Amino acid sequence: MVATTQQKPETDKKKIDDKKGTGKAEPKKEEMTEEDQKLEEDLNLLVQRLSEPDASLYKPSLETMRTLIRASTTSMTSVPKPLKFMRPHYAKMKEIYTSIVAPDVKKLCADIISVLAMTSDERTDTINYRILGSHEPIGDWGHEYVRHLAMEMSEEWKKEGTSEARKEELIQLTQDIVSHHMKHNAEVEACDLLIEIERIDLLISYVQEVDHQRVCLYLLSCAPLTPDPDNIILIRTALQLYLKFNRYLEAVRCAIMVNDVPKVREIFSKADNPLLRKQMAILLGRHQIFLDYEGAEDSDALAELNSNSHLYEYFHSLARELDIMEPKTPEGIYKSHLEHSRPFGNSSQPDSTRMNLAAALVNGFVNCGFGVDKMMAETEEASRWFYKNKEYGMLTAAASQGLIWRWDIDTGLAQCDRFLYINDDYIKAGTLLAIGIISSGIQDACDPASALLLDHVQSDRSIMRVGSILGLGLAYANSKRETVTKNEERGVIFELKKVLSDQKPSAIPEVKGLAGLSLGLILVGTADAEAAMEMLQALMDKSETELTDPNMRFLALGIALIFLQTQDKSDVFVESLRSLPDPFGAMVSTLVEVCAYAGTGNVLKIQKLLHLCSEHYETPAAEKKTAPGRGTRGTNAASATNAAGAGTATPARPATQSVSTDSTTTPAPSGTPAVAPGAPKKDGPAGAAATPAAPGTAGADAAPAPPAKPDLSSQQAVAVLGIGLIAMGDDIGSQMALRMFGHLIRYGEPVIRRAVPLALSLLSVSNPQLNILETLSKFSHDSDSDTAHNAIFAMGLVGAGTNNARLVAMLRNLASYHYKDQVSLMLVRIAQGLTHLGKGTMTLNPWHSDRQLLSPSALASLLSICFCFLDANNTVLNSRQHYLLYTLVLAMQPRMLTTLIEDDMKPGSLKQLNVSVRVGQAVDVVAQAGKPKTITGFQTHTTPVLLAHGERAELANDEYISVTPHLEGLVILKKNPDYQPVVVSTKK
Amino acid sequence: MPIVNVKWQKEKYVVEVDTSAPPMVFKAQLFALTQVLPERQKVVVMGRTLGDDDWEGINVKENMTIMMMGSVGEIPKAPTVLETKQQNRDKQAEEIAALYPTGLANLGNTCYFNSCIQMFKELNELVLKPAEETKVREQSDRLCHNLAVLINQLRDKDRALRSKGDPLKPFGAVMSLSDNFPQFEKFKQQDANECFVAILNNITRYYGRAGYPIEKLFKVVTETTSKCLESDEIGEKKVENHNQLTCYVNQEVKFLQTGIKAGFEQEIEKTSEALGRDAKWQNVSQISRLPKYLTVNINRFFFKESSKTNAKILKQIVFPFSLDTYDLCTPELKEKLHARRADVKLEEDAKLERELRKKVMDKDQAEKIFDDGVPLSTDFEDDSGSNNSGFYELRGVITHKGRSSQDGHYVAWLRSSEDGKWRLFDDENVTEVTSDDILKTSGGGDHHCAYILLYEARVIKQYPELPPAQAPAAEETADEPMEVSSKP
Repeated sequence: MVATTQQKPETDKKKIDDKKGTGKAEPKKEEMTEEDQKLEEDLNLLVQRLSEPDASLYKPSLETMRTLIRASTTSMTSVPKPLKFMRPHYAKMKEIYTSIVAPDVKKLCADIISVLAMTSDERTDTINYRILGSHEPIGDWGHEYVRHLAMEMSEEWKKEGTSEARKEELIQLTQDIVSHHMKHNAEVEACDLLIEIERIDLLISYVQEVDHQRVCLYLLSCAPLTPDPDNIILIRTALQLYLKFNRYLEAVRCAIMVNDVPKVREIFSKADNPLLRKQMAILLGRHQIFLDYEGAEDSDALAELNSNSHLYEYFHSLARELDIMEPKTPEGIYKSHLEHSRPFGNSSQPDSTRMNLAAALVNGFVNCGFGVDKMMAETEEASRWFYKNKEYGMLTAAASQGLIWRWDIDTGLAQCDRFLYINDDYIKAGTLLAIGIISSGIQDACDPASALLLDHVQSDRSIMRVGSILGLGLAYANSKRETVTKNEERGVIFELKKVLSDQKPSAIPEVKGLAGLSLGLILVGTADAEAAMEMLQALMDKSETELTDPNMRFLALGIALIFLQTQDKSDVFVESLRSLPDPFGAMVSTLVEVCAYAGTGNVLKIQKLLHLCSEHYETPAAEKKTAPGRGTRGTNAASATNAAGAGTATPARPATQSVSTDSTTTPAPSGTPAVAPGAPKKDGPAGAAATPAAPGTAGADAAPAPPAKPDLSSQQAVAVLGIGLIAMGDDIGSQMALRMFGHLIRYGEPVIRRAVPLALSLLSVSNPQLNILETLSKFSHDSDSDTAHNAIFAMGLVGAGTNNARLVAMLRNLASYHYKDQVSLMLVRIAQGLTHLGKGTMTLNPWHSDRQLLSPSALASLLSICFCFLDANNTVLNSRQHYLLYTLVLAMQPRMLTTLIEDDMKPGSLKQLNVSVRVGQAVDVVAQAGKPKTITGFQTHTTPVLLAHGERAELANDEYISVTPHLEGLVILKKNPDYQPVVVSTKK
Repeated sequence: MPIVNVKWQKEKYVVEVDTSAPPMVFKAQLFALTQVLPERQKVVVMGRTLGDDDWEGINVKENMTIMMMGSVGEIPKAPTVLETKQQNRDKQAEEIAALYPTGLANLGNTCYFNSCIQMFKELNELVLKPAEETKVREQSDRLCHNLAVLINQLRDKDRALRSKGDPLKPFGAVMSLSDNFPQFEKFKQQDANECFVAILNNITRYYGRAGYPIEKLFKVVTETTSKCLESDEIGEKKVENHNQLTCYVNQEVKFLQTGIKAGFEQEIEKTSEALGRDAKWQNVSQISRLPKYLTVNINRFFFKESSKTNAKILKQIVFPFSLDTYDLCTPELKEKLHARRADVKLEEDAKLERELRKKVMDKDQAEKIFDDGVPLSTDFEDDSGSNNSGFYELRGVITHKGRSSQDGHYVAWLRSSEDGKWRLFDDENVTEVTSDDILKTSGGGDHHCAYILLYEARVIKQYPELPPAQAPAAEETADEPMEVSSKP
C-alpha cells in the first residue's frame, strides 16, 4: 500500500524524464557518445530484422535484444538506454509480437515487450505481456521491473469485472513477485502488495525464519492504519506467522490483540517451554485476562503468575530500591504553603466535607499499593477519618483503604476485615468496595472477593448493594475464570444479572446502574450478546422519564463496555439500541459504536463522529416554533448518522419504534443486522446504500413528523469522547485528533466544549505532553465551570503517576485560583493526588507491551470515569457518587521493570534478580533496514527500574537472555549458555 | 480427613479438617492457631464463606488452600457524640489559633514598623487607650491615637475571626509616624531600632502626660563613675536614664552579656584637672534600676564611609533565653536583689521535688500538686514596673536580614504570653516556630540576625511545702492479699 503511493510519482516522473529524454535526444543526436550511437543502431537493426519476414532470424535477434537490455544498468533517476532507444519502436514490437508464430519465440518477444511496457503509456501491458511471456525468473529483469509489476498489479486487481480466470493468473504472478521480494529483503513491499490485493494469507508460505520478525512487526504496525476488518486480518496473519516459527509468546500477544481467548488457550497447549509459559501467564496477568489452567501440570505456578498475587512484593521491592516507602500525606502533596499565599484564605474552611473527601482520595492515590500510610494504617486513626465525612463520603473514605493495600490481599483484607463489624452501613459498604479494590486484578484461588461481596449483593440495604456490586465489578474485571462465569447460584455474573431484574425496594436505580457497569467491566470486550440483551431489556422496560435518570446511563455504559473493541460484532446492538427513545437511544448507540472501535484509529468512524458534532441544537423553546421542517432534518441527521443513505430514508421515529421494539425484545442471537427493519441501517464504511426496506417504511410513515426534534447534545458529547477513544494509542491519529479538538472547542456547542478536555486526556493518559497540558491548563480557567472541572480532572489523568514538575506547578496555581470554589478545589486536589499516583511509580495508560496491547479493563475504567464526567454534576460531583472515581483502579499499574530468574534452590519458582539494563527513548524500527538500534539516549540502570512513557529497555550485557523481547513489567530471564564474561587483562 | 493449607494474613498453617464434624470444630482449630475468635473468622473456600453449622456447597479437597480472614483485637468504635462535640470545640479553638494572632500587611517597606508594632502588642501591661478625637491636637497625639487603635485591633480576637485572617493594614499609623518623624520617609526601609525607640519615646511622653506610668516599664537607670587611669582622680557620679541597653559588637564580643559590659566600661580621653592635660579616663556604668521590660539593641550597624550606608556586622552574638543582669548592677541594687534571688533557689528545689514525687503518684494528683505555685511579684514594692530579681526571660526578637539597615527585611519573633509558643511575624504571615529557630537568629550568616531583643522580668513562683509523701511500699502490700486470693 505504501509502496504504490510512493511509486506513482516515480513512474510519472520517469515518464516526464522519458519525454524530455526523447525530446532532447533528437537535436542532440550528434552529441551522443559513440557507444550510445552504436547501441541505438544495433537496436534499430534488430527491430528492422524482426519486421522482416525471415522468421529464422527472430529468435537470435530477440535474444540479442534481451542481452542488450539486461546488460544495461538501471538506476532510479534515468531510464536505461536500451529502453529509451526502444521506446519509438514499442508499437512496432507489439505488431511484431502478433505476427510471430513460433511459440517460444513469441514468448520471448512477450517478455521483452513486458519490459518495454514500463516506459510506455499503456498501463497494464507489463502484466499482460508478462503473463504471455516465458515465465523466466522474475528477478532477471532487475528489481525495478518487479516493482513496476507490483504497482500495476494492485491497480489491475481493483479493476471492475476481472474474471476469475484472470484473477488466477494475476495471483500466480503475485506469488512470483512476493517470493522475489521476500528473497531480496523487500518484505515491506511484499506485504504491501498482498494487503493491496487483500490476499495477505498468501504471505505465510513465503516468509522465512529470518524475516518473520520484521514481517510481523510491519503487519502489526499496519493494523492500526487499516479500517476493519482488515486490521484483524493483519493481526491474525502475524499470529499465524509467529506460530509457524514457534514464537508462542508473540503469538499470544497477537491473540490478545484480537481478544481471542480460545486461541490463547490453544497456544498455551502448544507451548512447552516452562519459562515461556510463565512469561505468557505474566503477560496475560498484566493484560488482566484471567484464565483457569486446569489440567496443565504447572497449573499452580501459571495461575499464581496470572493472578498477579505476587505483584505487591515486586512493587514493594521496587519502592524500597527507590527509597520511597515512607508514607506521604495529602498536605505533603498539596504543599499549600507554596501556593500563592492567601494567608488564611484556605485555612478558614480547612475541614469542609469536600476537602476531607479529597484528602481521603489523595491519600489513597498517593500511597497506592505501598501498604503503609499515615491515615489508614492505624485502625483508630482510620476510623476517626471515616467519621470526619458524612454518609456517602464515609463510603468513599472507607473504600480508600483499598487503594493503600492494593494487590496485597493477605494484609489488606485483614485490615479491612475489622471494619466489617462496625455498626455503620456506609463504612461497611465502603469496606466492601475496598475489598473489591484490593483484589482487583488479583485472582486468588480462594476468591475472597466473591465470597465476601456476594453475600451483600442481594442485601436489603441499597447502600450495601452499591458497595458490593461495584466491588465485584472491580475485582473481577475481564476475568474469565469459572467462579465468575458459571451460570448458577454464586456465579458472579449470574448474581449481578439477577440485580437487573430485581424488584425489591432496595434495588434503586443507582444499584441497577452500578450492576450494569459492573457487568460491563467483568464482561468487557466479550461481545456477550446474551448479557447485553438482558441489560437492553432492563432499559426497554423503563419509560421515557425513567430513562432520564442519570443512573440509567451506566446500564448503557455497561452494554458499551461489553462491546469494547469488538468492532463489527457490535453492529446489531448499535442498531437495536437506536430503538430506545431519543435522546437516550441515540446516545447509547453512539456510545456502543465508539466503544467497539476504541483504540483502532479508524478514520472513517472519526469522520462520522465529527459529522455528528457539527450538528447544532436549538434550545427547546426556540425549537417548537420551527418544529416540522427542522424537526425532520434533525432526526434524520441524528438518528441516521449515515452519510450516504440519509437523503432517501426519512425514518419517522414513533412508527418505526414499535416495530423495532417488537423485534428486539425477542433475543436475536443469530446476529443478523436486520433486527430492526424499520430503523435506519448503519452504513458500512464503504458507503453501501441503505436497505431497500427503509425507503418503503419511511415513505409510508413520512407524514407524521415528530413533534419536536430531540436534544441530542448528549450524543454529541459521547461522540467527542469517542474521537479520543478511537484515536488513542496511534501517534499520528492522536495528532490529527488534537487539531480537530482545537476546532471543536473553539466553535462547538457548550456540551462539546465540556467533553473535549476529557477526550484530550484519553489521547495522552499518563503522558504529560506539553501541548496537551497547555491546552488543558487554559480550559481549567474557563468561565464555564463544567468545562473547567473537566479540564482539571483531565490534567490529573494526563499526568497520572508521573510527578511531572510542570503539572505540579500548574495545579498549585489552580489551587490558589479556585480557592473559593470548593468543587473545583476538590478536583484540583484529586488531580494533584493522581499526578503523584503511587508516588510517581504508576501509570494509567491502558497501552502496554511496547504500546501495542490495549488492556480492555484499563480502557474500560478510563472510559467509565470520563463518561461519568460528561455529566459530572449528576454523577461524580453530586456529593453522593464520588465513589465512581474508584473505577480508575483498574487502570492503575506500576510502570516498572523487574527481572526474575528461575530459583536454583526451588525449581519451578521464580526469584527476583537484579541485572543492569539500558533504558532509553524507544525508536520506531518498523520497516527499517538492517538491525537498527531500538533505543536512543539511554542510561544504564539496575533493575528494578521505572520506565517512563515511550521508554524502552534492553539488557546491558549478554549474561542473561530474556524470554520476552519486550522488557516491561515482570520479565523472566535465563542464563546465556554462550556467555563469556569480559576478562579485563591486567598489564604488567 | 483431608489436610489443607490455611492462609491467614501472611502466615500459613497446615490443618487437618474433619468434614464430618460441624465447621465450628474447624474454626476452633483455627482459633487455637491464630487467636481469632470463631465469630470473627471468615473462612473462604473457592469463593464461598464457610458457615458455622454445615459444610454445604463446600468441597474440601486434599491439599487445597483455604483462606481465613479475621483479626484479633477490638472492633473500631465510632467517635461518640461527646467526642465530636469536643472535636468541634477543639476545631473552633484551632480555627482561632489559625487566625490569631493577626499579621500586618506590608504597605511597601513597612516591615520595620510592623515588627515593632507586633512587639509592642505582646507587652500586656501596655494598655493604650485611643486618644479622644477632641484631644487630638498635635501630630504626635495623632500618632499615639493611631498606634493605640492598631495595637488594640491586633489584640482583638473577635476581629480576627470576623476578618477570616485578613491582615490589618496599618495605613494611619504609618502615615502619622512619618508625619511626626520626618526621618521615617514613607514606604522606605528604615532602621527598626530607631523606629522602636521613637515610638517608645512618643507613647511614654504622651501617656506619661495622661498619667500612665509606661516609662517605668522600660526605664533603666545607670550610674556612671569615671576614673582617671593616669592619676587617682575620680570624676563625679552621673545618673542617666535609658530606655534600652545596647550591646556593642566588636572583635572580642561573642556573647550578649560581654557586649553589654563592653558598653558599660568605656575608655575616653578627657581633661584631667589634676594633671592639667588630656588623659585617659575610664567610665564604668552600673545599673541602679532594672525595668520589667528590658530591651537590648545589638548594635550591628556602623556607617561605612565607602558606600555611605549603615553596613551590618554579621558576627554571631549568642544571646540567652534567660538573662541574669546581676553583674551589671550597683552594689546597692545587688543588695536589694538578694531577697528575691533566694526565692529562685527555693522555686527550683520545689520543682525538683515535685518532679520526683510525680513519678510515684498517679496522674491526677500529680497535676494538682505540680501547679500549686503562687507567682511572686516581680517589682519592688516602692517602684512599680521594676525588676526585683535581676533575672530576665526572652520574650521577643526583632531580626534583620540583609546587609544594611536601610534595606533587607525585618521580622519579629515573639513568644506569646498566653500559650507560651513562639511565633514568627513576617508581615501578613504568622507562623509557629520552635525555640530552636530563635537561637538560630544569633547571627553569623545571611539568615535573620537578631537586632532588638526583648526580655521580660522572670516570674518566680513560691510553692507551698509538700505534704509528706506516702510510702509507695504501703500500697503494694495492700494489693498483695487480693492477688493471693485470686490465685487459689
